[in-house]
Amino acid sequence: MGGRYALMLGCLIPSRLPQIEAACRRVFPLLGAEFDDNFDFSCCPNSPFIKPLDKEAWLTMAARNLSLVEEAGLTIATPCPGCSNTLLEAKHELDHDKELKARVNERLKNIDREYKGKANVQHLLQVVVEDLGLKKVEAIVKTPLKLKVAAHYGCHLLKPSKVMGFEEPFTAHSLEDLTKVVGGEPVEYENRDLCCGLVLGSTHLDGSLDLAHRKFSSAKAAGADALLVTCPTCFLQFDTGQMRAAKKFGADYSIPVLYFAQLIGLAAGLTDKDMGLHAHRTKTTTVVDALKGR
Amino acid sequence: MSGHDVEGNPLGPYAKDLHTLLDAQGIPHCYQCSRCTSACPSALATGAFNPRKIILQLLLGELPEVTAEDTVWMCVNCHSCEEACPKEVRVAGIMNALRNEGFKAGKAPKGYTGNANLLLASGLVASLQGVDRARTQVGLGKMRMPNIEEIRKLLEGTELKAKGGGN
Repeated sequence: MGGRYALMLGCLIPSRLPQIEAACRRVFPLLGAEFDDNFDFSCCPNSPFIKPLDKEAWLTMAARNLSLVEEAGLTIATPCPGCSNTLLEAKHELDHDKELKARVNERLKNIDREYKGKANVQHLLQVVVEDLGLKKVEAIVKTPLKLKVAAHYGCHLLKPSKVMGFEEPFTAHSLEDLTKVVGGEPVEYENRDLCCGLVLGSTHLDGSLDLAHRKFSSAKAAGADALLVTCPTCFLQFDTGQMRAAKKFGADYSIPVLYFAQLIGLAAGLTDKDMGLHAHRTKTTTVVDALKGR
Repeated sequence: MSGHDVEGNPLGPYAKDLHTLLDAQGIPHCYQCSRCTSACPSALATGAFNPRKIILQLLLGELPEVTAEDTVWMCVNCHSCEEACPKEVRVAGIMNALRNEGFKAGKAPKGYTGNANLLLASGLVASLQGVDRARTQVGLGKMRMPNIEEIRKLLEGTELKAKGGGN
């Protein structure tokens, strides 16, 4: 089963991590999914920084984003769990609080829009697992990726679980399932469910690096060749932030970071250049070596 | 508008609305088991942020005056606390309500207001320096930008617009 989705890229992916956008655009058509780019999405807006400042403004902007697709009747699909989290939380609040919804709609009137509550939202991993199916991924694998992979779910893909409605946070297994489907081996490691720590960096840099260190060292101890992520914030922390943590803790993690669509693309025979691995800050040598001899 | 506690004492610097809001997040159900703090990555990494203690203060009717240096800003909104809470207290919601009050009073860390400024400038929380080059490097064309005029109009009259873009 394929389908057409309204693509919401968010902020970080198109601006700082376009390799993730490139990977999604090149991989999803192979799985039978089509993206519609014709929606004027703004920042979702960001839940760790904007919601703590002004929740009502946060809700209002989220309601605008949701309202954009209501007429077209498309599901919003996003590569960013920050976006899916904000939109689903906002939807949950607006759909359960009539007064709030009326207040937000009063503001939306100023730009001739209305939030009705008809839009659906999915993270792209959810699109793969729930709509397209892992069988579809299996069918396009050309080069089994013989890599040991440490899955990192991050926070907002799954939590709050009652609102996100995807997998249970502590027993999630879709990334491990995906890893097996592309020929890799998921590793069990301590701290799998720990936050990446990037957001903490704005108020407590040492704490932020401490969380990253726990992640790298436990993934490394379990023999992981790569960290698998679903989120641009986690990607930044683990890829760009890896050198900083390595310096602070005098460690050499050398563990490449892969966004889940890159993992699928590489296994499907797309090149490391197609998947934008040359744009990564942490060397992806172990991944590229695993592809050699295809 | 200010409220009173059960003994008739005034509630301090915050409005009765905030108490109502905080109660709606389930504060009265908290029995201080500390599963929230045990599950909290920021508590683990900083040793300073402690959501259980903040809720205890609120249970005792002490509304902490939030400053830009307050540990409450170390909450990363990951919702691990809410997954762990046996009484369905909306711990992250409480941390957000407190911070909203801080922001209203002009007390938020620069790391936060900087992001608000980015949002008000372009409609995205992203620095746009070097974007074209980064996109060309992976074979992508120009980045699509949202209609910022429409977003500014939408945010007219919000705290975010009033305070976020100020500095």
